[in-house]
Amino acid sequence: MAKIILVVEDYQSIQKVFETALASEGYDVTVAADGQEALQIVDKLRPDLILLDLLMPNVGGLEFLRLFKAKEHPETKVVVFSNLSSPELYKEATELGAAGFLAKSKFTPKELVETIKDTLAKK
Amino acid sequence: MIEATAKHQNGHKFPVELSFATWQAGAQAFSTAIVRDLTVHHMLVKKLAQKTEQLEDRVQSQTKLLRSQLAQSEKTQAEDEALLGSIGEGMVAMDKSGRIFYANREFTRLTGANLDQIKGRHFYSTITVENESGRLIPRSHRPMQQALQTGRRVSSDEYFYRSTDDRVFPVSVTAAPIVLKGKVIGGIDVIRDITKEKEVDRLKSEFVSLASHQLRTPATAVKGLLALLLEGYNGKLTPEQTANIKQAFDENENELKLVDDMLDVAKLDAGELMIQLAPVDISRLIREVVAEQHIISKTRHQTVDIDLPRELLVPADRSKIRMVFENLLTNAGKYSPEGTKIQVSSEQSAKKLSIHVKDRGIGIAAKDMGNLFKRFSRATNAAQVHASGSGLGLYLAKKIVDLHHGRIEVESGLGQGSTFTVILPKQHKE
Repeated sequence: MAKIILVVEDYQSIQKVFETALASEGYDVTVAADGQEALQIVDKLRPDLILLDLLMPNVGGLEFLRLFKAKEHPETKVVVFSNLSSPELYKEATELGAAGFLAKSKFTPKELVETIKDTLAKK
Repeated sequence: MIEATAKHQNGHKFPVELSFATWQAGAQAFSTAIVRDLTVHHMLVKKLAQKTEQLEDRVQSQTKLLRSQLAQSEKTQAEDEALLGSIGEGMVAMDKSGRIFYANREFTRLTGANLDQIKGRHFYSTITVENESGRLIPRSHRPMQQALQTGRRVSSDEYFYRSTDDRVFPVSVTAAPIVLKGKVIGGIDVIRDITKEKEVDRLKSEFVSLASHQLRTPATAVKGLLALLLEGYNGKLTPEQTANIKQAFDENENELKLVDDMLDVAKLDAGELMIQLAPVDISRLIREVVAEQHIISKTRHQTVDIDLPRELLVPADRSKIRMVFENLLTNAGKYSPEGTKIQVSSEQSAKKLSIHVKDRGIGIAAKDMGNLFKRFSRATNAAQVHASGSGLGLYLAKKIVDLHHGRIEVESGLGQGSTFTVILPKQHKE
């Protein structure tokens, strides 16, 4: 069965890029426009991986991580994919359970797909 | 005794003094008259009077002079006091041993110190200076001590003063020696409270940080959309389409790089660009950077010769020091003609590691050398090669190397290629 990926991203053009690249790789992709929307669907969706932006309206990425951690879905991997980066943010996101922290502007769709594949393959 | 005027037989008149006496001798009475010529006496009296008068005149004029000089000196002192007192910067003056002999109003206002209390006391122990984390700056590092030792003006913006009521504020300090006949006899410390400037810097960097994020987001979207095309997600492209989209993609990458650099500069300016040192294998790091840039150098038919030992460990901040070599290697490629060679080599001693990045490019004119590491500066001949650049790369590289207590050296001349050398200490310095 295709792996389920939830993309949490508020910027439409970027949503489109992620969706196109991941779907063409055979993943089952769902998009949420912010953390709040993601929290509403995450229990039913049970994604294998969440691709999470940080700076979003309503519920931002770090807040989402905090709330999602409380839901206890250890089978779901969260990869932070943001244009914000600092050692403090990295530390905080990792402590909140993020499996990866990537700089959004450094990746092309193909590189993103490779990274997602690697992350999903890891135990 | 009477004074009278006598007349000489020759008609000359002269002053005389007449005294008379009568006495009895038996039945006979006698009278004596004594006449004394007073000419000389009168002359002397007159002279004396003149002298006295002259003397009095002189005393009077001297007194007048003294009075005016005193008034002048009081006026000068008052003027000096008003002048020094009304300066918006704190000023404290001391002798060579550091004993305070003067402080203006702003200095006592800023520090909360009372002039009478600090006069005659030792500057370094009376007025203490701290760094950002509250540690006291030792005397040998104080700008004043350095100014007194070197005889030169020393400035710093890094320190903090603590006032008597425990307010800590950032200051800009300029210490200048007082030199008399070629000898340093004391020093003047001028301090300015730069709390407001720091706040403006902070707001500015916050703004740049937010603006950078906002600028980066659409550019990231453009990158993704163009890459979808280039990576074949939207079907096959003609070679011409590929070429144009590749060009658009590269331009967008430049834009992203510029935004990244601006953000780093803003962080640097706000003192937020911190480095965390850990052992880094510079040899491996350079190989990684070169491998990443392989595609770029290949299209320009350039080769990179890496002549480095297998391992070169130094304490460094991996991602920051990586930026330095990325920058130097990108520059070497960018400003060199197609088909040329870039060489990376190293030298080391017990204390330091030097990495040389040598190119055979357009070189740097002597007049541009001084501005090379300044913000937004580009060499005058940079435009010749149609290379894009923000003028921030070397500025950032130098700042990062500075944070590692290292330095960057350049050897170059117009048309002679350039060699950039990064020198890093092998020991972790506090």
